[in-house]
Amino acid sequence: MLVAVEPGGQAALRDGRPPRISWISIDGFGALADVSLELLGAGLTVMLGPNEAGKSTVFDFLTAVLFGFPPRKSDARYRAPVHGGRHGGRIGLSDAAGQPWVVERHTTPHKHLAVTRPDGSEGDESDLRRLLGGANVELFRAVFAVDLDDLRRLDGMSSDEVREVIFSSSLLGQRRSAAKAMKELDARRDALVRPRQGGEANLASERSREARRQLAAAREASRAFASMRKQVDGLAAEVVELRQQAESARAALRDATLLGRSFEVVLRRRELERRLSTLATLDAGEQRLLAREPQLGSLAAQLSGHRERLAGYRQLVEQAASVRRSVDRRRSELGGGDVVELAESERFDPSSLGAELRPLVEQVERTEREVAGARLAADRAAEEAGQLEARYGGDAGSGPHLPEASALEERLLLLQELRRWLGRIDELERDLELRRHREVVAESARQAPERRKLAGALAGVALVLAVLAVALLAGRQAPVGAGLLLLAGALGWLAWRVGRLRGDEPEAGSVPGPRSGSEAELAHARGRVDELAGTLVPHATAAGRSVAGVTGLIDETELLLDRRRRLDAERERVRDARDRSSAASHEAGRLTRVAERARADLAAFADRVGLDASLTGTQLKERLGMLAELRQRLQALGRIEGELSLASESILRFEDSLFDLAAHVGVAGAAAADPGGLASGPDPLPEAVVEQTLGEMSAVLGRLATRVRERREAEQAVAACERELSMALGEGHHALELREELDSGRVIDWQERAAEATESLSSLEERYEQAVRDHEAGSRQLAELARSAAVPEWEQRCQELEEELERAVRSFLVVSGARTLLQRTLKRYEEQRQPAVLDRAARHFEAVTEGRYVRLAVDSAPDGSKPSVRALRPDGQHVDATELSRGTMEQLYLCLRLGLAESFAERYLPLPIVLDDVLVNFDPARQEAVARELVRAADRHQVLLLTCHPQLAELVTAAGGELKTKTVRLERTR
Amino acid sequence: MALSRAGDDFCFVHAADLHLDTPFKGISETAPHVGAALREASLDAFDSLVDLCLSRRAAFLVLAGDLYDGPERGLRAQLRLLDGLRRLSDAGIATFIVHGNHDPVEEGWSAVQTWPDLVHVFGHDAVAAVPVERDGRVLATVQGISYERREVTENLALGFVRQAGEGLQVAVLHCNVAGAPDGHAPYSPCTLEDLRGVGLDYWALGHVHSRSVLSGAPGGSESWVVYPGNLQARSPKPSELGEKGATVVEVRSGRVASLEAVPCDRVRFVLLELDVSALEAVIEVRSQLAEAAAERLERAGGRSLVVRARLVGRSPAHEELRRDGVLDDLLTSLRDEAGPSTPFLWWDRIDDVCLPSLDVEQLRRGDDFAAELVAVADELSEVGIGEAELGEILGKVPREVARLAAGLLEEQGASAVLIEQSVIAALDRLELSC
Repeated sequence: MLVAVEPGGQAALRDGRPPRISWISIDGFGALADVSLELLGAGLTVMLGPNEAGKSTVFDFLTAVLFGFPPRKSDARYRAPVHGGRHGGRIGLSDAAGQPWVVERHTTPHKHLAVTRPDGSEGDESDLRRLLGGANVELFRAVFAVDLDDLRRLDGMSSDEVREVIFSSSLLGQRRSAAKAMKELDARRDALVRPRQGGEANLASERSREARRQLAAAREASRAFASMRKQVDGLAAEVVELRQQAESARAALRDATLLGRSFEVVLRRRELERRLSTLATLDAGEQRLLAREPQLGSLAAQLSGHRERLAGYRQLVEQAASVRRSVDRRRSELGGGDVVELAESERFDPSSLGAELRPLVEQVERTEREVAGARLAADRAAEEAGQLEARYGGDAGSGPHLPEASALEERLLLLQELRRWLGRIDELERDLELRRHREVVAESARQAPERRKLAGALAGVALVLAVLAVALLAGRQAPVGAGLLLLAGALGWLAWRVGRLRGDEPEAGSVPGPRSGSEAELAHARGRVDELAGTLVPHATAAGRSVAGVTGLIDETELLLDRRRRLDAERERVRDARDRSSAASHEAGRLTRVAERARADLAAFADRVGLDASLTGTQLKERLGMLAELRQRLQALGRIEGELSLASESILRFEDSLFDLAAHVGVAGAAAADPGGLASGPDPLPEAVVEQTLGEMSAVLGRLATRVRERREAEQAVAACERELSMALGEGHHALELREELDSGRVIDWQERAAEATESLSSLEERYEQAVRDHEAGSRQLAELARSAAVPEWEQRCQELEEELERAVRSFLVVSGARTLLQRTLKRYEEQRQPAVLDRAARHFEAVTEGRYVRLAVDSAPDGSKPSVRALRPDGQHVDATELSRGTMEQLYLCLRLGLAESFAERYLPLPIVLDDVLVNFDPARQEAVARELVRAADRHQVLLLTCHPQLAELVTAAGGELKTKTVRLERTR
Repeated sequence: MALSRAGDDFCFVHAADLHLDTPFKGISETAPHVGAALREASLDAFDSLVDLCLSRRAAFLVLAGDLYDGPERGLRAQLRLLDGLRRLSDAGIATFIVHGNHDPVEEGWSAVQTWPDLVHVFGHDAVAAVPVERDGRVLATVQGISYERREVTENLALGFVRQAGEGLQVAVLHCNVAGAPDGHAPYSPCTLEDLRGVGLDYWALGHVHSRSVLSGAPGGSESWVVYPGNLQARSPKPSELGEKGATVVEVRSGRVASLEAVPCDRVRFVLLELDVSALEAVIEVRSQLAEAAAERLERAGGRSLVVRARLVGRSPAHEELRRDGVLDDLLTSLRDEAGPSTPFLWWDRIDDVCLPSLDVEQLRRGDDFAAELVAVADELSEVGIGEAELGEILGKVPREVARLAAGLLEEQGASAVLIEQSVIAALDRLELSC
C-alpha cells in the first residue's frame, strides 16, 4: 500500500514504517558489474569495504536509480560501466506498509525506468515520486545523501527547492512550488524588462526613440512647407518671365527670318509688275475679233468631220454611177419594153410573184417525175415476171409429175404409222422368244440334284488324281504327275461347270405370264400392217414390209413434198410480178394526165404576168429573178442620190461658215477664190483650201489670244506673290510694319538681327527649361509634402510604441509585484518555520559537541540566496560556521542535515539517509557521539553508512548494538 | 458678413475639439488598414462636418477651439482644414474660429497664409463681435476670444457682453465650466452662472470631449450652454466612447428652437465589459465577445469600430485565461474572424481583470503559504508602494522603465490595483486558483 503523499497524509505516515531500501542489484555502474546486496534492513546498516570496493559507486547508484542519471555523461556521478554490463540496475524498496516495490532504471534505451508495484503491476515516475515523498534529486542530495564534500559547504541546503520543501510544508504535495513560480515569474520579468536590452519594454523603448526621431524629421520637413511654397512661387514667376523673354526673342528671330525670306518674294513681284507693264491690252475690235475664237474653234473641230463628209460624198457619187451602169445592162438583158416597165412599176412585187410561181413549177416537176417512176416500175415488173417464167416455168412443166402437196402429206402420215406398227411387231416377237427361253431354263432347274451328284463325283476323282499327281511329282515322276495334275484340273473344272448349272435356276415368283395376250396383239399388228400396205400400194412395195424399207419410203416422200412446195412458191411470185407490172402501167397513164394539167397552169401564170407562156418553169423563175434584181438596183440608186443631196447640204453649211468667218477675220486667201463653193459649182471646196483658210484665221486669232493669256498670267503671278507675302507676314499693324521693312530692303540689317535673336534665344531657352524643371521638382515636393502622411504615421507609431511600452511596464509591475510577494512570503515562512529545524539540528550538535554549542541561528543574505549559519555557545557567544574547525564545521553541517531530515520526516516521510564516510575527520570522541546520533536517527530513518574504516563500523555497532545495526561487507572490485 | 440665405429662420453648426490629424492614444498595435483609417479619421470627420453644413445650408459654423492637438500642427491637417473652409466660404457659409489650450495662438506654425473670405479667426486680446447678416438684416452676432497660450487660467467668459441690436447672440469659447463631466484641465475656468449672467443666447463651448448641454431648454429663457463633444474619438478613454460629432442649432424667430447632435465620426471606440462569471472556458468568452462586437458594429451606422474588451467577474475560465499567450491567442482569433472588412471591426485589446474563483477572504483565514502571501500583500497595501517598495519590485531596470513605472503608480489607486493584481498573479502562478 503506497502511502498517500497528499496533504493530510502525515498522520498515516507516522503510524507506518519508514520506507527503506531492501536490496540493490547493479547490472553495470562504474567499477561495479553484476553486484547484488540483499542485506539492507531497517535501522542503521554499515556498508564496510576497503578502498575501491565501490562504496561511492553504490552511493551514486542509489541516487541515479531513485532520481535519475545525471544529464551529462561528463558528470562524475554518471559512472558509465567500466567492466561491462547494462548501465543501471534495480533497487528493492519497502514502503511505509512494508510492501515491496522494485525500481529499475537504465540509461538505455532512453533512460528507461520501470516501477513495479507490490501487486506486480507496472507503475510510473509519479508512483516513484510519491514513494519518495515528493522529494527531488536536489533535496535528496542536499539532505539525505551526504558525502564528505557535502559537509564542507552549505550550498545545497540553501537552494530554493530545499528551503521550500523544508520550510513550506503547506506547499508540499501541491502541484507547483513557490520556487518554480518565482522562476517562471523571473522568466516573465526577463521577457518584459531587462537591465540593458532584450525585453519587450526595452525593445518598445528603443523603437519609440527611433520613431520619435523619425517624427521629428517628418515635422521638420513639414515645417519647410511655407518656405518651399514661397520658393516654388518664385520659380513660377521666373518661369513666366523667362518664357516672355524667350517669346520676344523668338518673335524677333521669326521677323528677321521672315523678312529675309519674304524679300525674295518682293523682288519677284517687282519683276512681274515690270513685265506686266509691257503687255498692251486689246482694243474693242480685237476684243470682238477674239470673241469669234470659239467659232474658229468650232470650225476647226468640225474639220475632221468635214473631211469625212467630203470622202463620203465622193464615194456616193461613184456608187451612183456604178448602179446606173448595172441598171442599164439589166434593162438591155431583159430587152426593155413592158417587162422593164413592169419591173419599174410600183405594183411589181417580185417576192409575191415568186411565191406564186414556186408551187406551180414544183407541181409540174413532181408530176413529171412520178410519171417517169410509174413507167419504170411497170417495166421492171414485166421484166421480173419474164425472168421467173424463164427460170421455173420449164421445171414445173417439163419434169416428172409431182403429186399435190396434200397427197404427199397424207402418204407420209401413212408410212410413218406403218413404221410404228412394224416396230411393234418386232417387240412383240422378241417378247415371245424370251418367254420361250425361260420355259426351257425352268425345265433344266428341275434336273439340278442329279448334276450336283455328278459334279461331286467328278470333283472327288479330280482330287484323287491331284493327290496322286503330287505324289508322283514328289517321286520324281514328273511327266506322269504333271499329266495327272492336268487331268485332275480338267475334272475339277468339269465338276465346277456341272455344279454351276444351278445358277440358271429361275427365281421364285418370276414365272412368266401367259403368252396368249402378246400373240393376239401381234396378230392385230400384223393385220394393221397388211391394211396399211394395201392402202399404200403401189407405193409400198416389198420394201414396204420392213421398218428400214418403210423408213426409206418416208425419206423419199419427204423429198417429193419439199420439191412440190418450192414449185408452188415460184409460181406465186410470177403471178405477183405480172400483177405489179399491170398496175404500174395503169398508174403511169394517170400521172401523165396530171402533168399535163400542171403545165397548163404554169402557162396561164406566165401569160397573166406578161411573160412568154412558152417558157418553162425554170425560165420563168429566172426572168422573175432578173426583174427583181433590176428593181433593187433602181431602188438603191434612189437612196444614193438622196444621201448625195444631204451630204451636199452639210458641206455647203460648213463652207458658208468658213467664208463668213474668213470675211470677218479679213482673210482673203484661197477661200476667196471660190466664194460660192458648192453653190457655185458641182464640187465642194478642196480640202487644202479649207485648211489654208482655217490656218490663216487661226494665226490671226491665236496672236490675239496669246497676248491676252500672257497678260493674265503675269497678273496671276503678281497676285500669287501678294498672297505669299500675306501668308508669311499676316495681317494687322505688325504686318504693315514688316512690309515697310521689306520696302526698305535692309537685308544685312535683318541678318544681324536674326543672329542676335538666335544667340539670345538659346540662352533664354536653357534658363527657361532649367527654371521649369526646378519649378516642377519644387511643386512635386510641395505636393508630396501636402499629401504626406509621414507626420501622422510617425505620431501614430510613437503612440503605439508608447502604449506598448506602457503595457509592458504594467505587466512587468504586476509580475514583479507577484514575485516580490512570493519572495517576501517565502522569507517570512522560512523565518517562522526555521526554528524547528534549527532546534533539532542544535540538539544533535549539542550532543555531538558535548554541550560546547547549544543553539544555532541562520542568517539569510540580503537576496535570500546564501544563508550563513552561526553556532551559539552556552555563554551566548556566536561563532560563524566558517570560523569553526573543519571537523566541527562538518559536524555542524551533518547535524543540520539530520535536523532537516527529521523535519521532512515530521511533515512528510522519513526517507533513508545515506552517508559516505562522513566521520573520517572527526576525533574519536566526536565519532562516538556522532555514531550515537546516527543510531538515534535510525529509529525513524533507514541509515546507510558507507565506510572503509573497520573501527568506525565497530564504533557504530557498539553504539547501536546488534539489534539496531547491521554490517554488510563489500569486496574490492576487479 | 452678408449671407445669401433668405428668411428669418436659420441654423448654424457648433463643433469643437477637432484635434485634426493627431494620433490615437492607447492603441498599441493595428493592422495596416486600421492604422490608415485611424490616421484619416479626424480629417474625414472634418469633411463630414463640412458636408453637414452644406447639406443643412447652415448660416455659419462655429469651431470652439482645439482644432489641432498641439504646437506640432500637421501640414496635412492645416491644408485639409483650409480646403474645407474654402468649400464653406464658396458656398456662402461663414466660419468662426477660436483657439483653445491645444492650439493657442502663440504656439504652433501655420501653413495657411490667407483664410477664405468668410472665415473669421478670433484673436486673443479681447472678445470681438462679428455680425452675421442676410439681406441687410443681422441674423446673429458671434463673439469669441482665442487662447493666447496653453495655460489660460483667467475666466475669459467675463469678457463677453451682450451686444446691442437684433439677431441671435452667440459666444464661442474654449473653457472648463465647473461641474462639466470628465474632469478636464481647468483652463479658462468659469461657472455656469458666469455664462448665464452675460445674457447671451447660446454659448458654443469647447474643451470637454463628452457632449453635454449644461443649460438651456426649448422655449426657455436661460442661455444655452453646450459642449458638442469632440468631432472624432481619439482613444478608448471613457470620454471618447460612443458617438462623436457636431451640434446643429435650429433658430426660429431669433431664438434657439432645438438642438440636434449629428455624428460626424468615422471610427468609433467601444468598450465591451464582459462578466465571465458564468463562463467555463475561453471558447465561450470568445463567442460572447464576438457576438457582442458584431451587434455593436451593426448599430454603428456604417462606421468602423475599435473594440476593447474587459473581462470581469470570477470565473473558472480565469485559470485558462491567465496562462501565457492565451489572451494573445484570443485576441488574434477575434481579429482574424473580423478580417479586413469595410467598415472594419478592430479588436484593440482584451483586459483580463477577472478574479480567480478562489475566495481570497477564505485564503486569508487559512494557515498556509497562500494565507501568508495574502497577509504579506495586506501589509504592503497598508504601507503603500513607496520608493523603497518600488525599488524592491522593479529591481535593476532601465531608468526609462523605472520612471514610467513610477508615473503609472502615481495614478490614483494604482498601487492598490497593482497589489491586487500581483496577489492574483502570484496565486495564479501557484495554481491555487481552482
